[in-house]
Amino acid sequence: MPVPPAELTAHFAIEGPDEARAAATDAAGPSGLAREAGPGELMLAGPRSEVLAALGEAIAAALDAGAHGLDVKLEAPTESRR
Amino acid sequence: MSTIAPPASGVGASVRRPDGIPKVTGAFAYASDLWADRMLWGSTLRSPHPRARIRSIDVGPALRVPGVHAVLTHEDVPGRKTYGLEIADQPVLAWEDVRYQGEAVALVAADHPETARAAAQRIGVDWEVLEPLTDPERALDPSVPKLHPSGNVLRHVHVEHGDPGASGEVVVRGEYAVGMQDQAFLGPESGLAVPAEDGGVDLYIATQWLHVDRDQLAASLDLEPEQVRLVLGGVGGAFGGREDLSMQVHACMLALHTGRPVKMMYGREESFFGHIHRHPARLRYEHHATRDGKLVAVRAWILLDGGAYASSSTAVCSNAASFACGPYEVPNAEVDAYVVYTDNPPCGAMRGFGAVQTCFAHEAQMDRLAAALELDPVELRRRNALSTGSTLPTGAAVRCPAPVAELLERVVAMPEPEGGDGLWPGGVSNVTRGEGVRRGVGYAVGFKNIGYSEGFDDYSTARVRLSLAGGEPLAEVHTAAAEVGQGLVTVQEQIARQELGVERVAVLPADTQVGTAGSSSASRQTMMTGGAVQAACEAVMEALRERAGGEPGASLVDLLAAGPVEATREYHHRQTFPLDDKGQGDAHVTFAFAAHRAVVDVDVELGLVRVVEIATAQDVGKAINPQAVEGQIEGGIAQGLGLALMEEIQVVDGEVRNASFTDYLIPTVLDMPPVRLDVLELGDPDAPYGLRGVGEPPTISSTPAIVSALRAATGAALTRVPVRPDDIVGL
Repeated sequence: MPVPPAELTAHFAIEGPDEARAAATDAAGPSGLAREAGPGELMLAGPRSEVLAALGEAIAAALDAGAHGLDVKLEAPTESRR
Repeated sequence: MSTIAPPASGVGASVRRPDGIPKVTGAFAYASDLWADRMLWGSTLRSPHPRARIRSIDVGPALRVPGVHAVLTHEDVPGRKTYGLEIADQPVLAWEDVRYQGEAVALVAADHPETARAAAQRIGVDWEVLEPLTDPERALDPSVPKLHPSGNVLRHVHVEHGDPGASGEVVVRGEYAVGMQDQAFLGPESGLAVPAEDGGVDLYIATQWLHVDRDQLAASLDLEPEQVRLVLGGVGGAFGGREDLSMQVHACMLALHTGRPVKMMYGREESFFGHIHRHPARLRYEHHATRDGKLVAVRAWILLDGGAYASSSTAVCSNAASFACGPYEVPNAEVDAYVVYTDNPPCGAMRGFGAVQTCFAHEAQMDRLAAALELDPVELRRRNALSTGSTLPTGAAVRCPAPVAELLERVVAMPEPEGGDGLWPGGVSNVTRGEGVRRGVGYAVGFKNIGYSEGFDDYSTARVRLSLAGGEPLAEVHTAAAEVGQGLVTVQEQIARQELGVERVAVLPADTQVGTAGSSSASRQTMMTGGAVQAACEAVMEALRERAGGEPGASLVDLLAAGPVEATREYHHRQTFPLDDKGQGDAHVTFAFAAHRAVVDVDVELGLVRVVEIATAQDVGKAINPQAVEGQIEGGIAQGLGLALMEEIQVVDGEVRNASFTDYLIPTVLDMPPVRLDVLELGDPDAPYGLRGVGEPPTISSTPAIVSALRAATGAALTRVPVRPDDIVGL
């Protein structure tokens, strides 16, 4: 059964060593919202507050592991699943 | 305006369907019959491994094959590289990890289908083969490798109702399993993508929901939704298996890349890898009752194998939890339903949608409980039957008619077939004189939600235009609703005739040039699109009345002489709400109920089964087309019989072993017994015409009724479907 799009979807790619990408994945994982979205790209989809919290943790973990850049795209559809 | 009388071919008439004879004679044009000038053929390279990592892909050898026009990989996906109905977790084309055998890796377009297939096999993939995770119980273990970044548990639904610790004087426990059933639609996945001058694409496609396909296509093709136009092709069955994308993005990518129309058409073997299946399930139940046969508590643990990607799994899991206790008054319940990722084939929507698996288990439990209580199994069900006003384990009250006891009584009242017709289980291959043949009779009852649940604002759109053509009124009905074989075109015609009082009705091809109709699934389309057509017709009639200006004698022809009248309307069902963390909420729109009695003959020495007859009573709310209702009920029972006795995708270590109709058995006319039908029309006051949907209930409780009859004949426990001959003879 299809469902409406999530309230917020964040696609992001970490620039930096593999360890930084791995750290971001590990940090985002427990949110339950993380999926692979392309080569080196992760997606977080769900309620806005949860996505933002998981994104923040992923970015912080990536920076701690040597990330030097971040490419992020956010989608907040007008009709969404909360 | 003069009073309009609906013609005899309106609502309630068994109008003959327009596609019936063409389908029987072979003249019907399916999506696989599509053709365009300068058309290329697409083919897909798929992973032979259930789990592997792609080190590199070499497309050079394929590109050098004469006649090949394009070879595409994930690098050529213009937009979002993943798709999915609930969670976009499935790669359009794999870039690194493959998670199931058959996952799409690369595409070829060539001037001949065999050239395309041969070239696809020349694509060089350097695989690092990995150990697949195929046991769903292992997938629950947090220490095993994660198939997706957020782990392997896709959803856990916990339902807590009353006192979950309540106990009864009599307790029965059971463990059950359901195999992986395929939708086995006869028309394999197929479609034709045609590049358009505006940079977009037109796709002619066999699908269940045009608009959700369009939206996913637009995202992955990096186009605006208006640049992706879909037209429904001839659909050869669906049963949930066409809700997810299959070749849609692939064909459009190839068409946009080559600038030529591209047709893709799966063969039967590829079809088994190209769509999702019914979730295999493991279920553990504990039923508590008083000595006089009143249910006290039900505890259930349900594990669904979602396979590699999410598809509709989270909703199937919710449904399994919602309907885990069956159509009974259960004062106390605790249900835990899980769906997990594995490296098995992805699973998703299929007729019954989570209620099939649980119905098999809860009905087996009711038989066990009846035996423990030394009570008639039907009487036990009747004593606990749900009714209007009952509270479900999810805390919601049943608002619609819930004639569970009446359905059972009607089935019991039907005469049973006599024996002695000389037909033995196994047909002509049974060369015995029937020495080992025993008869068994079994009963089951089930229910399921109609329409989309958990807060989804589900709706359908219809545009109705009434005009004069050749001096006579003509109604044109335009929706995006997918006719997948259920008879929806006829239903739309009948409603328009009923509401407008005209005989000539044309149902236009379904496409995305009108608003969404939602999916032809969840037994919802007659209710939802029927409701939209009814509302649009009412608006047309209101406009005509205004045009008449109160003049009582104005005829329809007179009024339409001033020009056509057109109206577009949406039908939304009543609001529903998500389940909370204790599985509580008014999550479902309405419910449909059915009861089945199976009579079987079993050769207990050879393990052969003959289903002698199925008797059923079902409440459909309103039979718009009684003949179509009978067809839906008989077809649904055939699929339930298939699950009971023969249909299972054999997956060993993540590899499918029977991807053909030679080895994946579906019931034929020789397997289908006569069906004795009793259709109730207890209208739902919240639905147009009282409609409640027909398609799924016949599949849900027919399976457990057949297995119950097998148990009665053999005395074997039979805790798994499909039941194999080995299970019957006790090997």
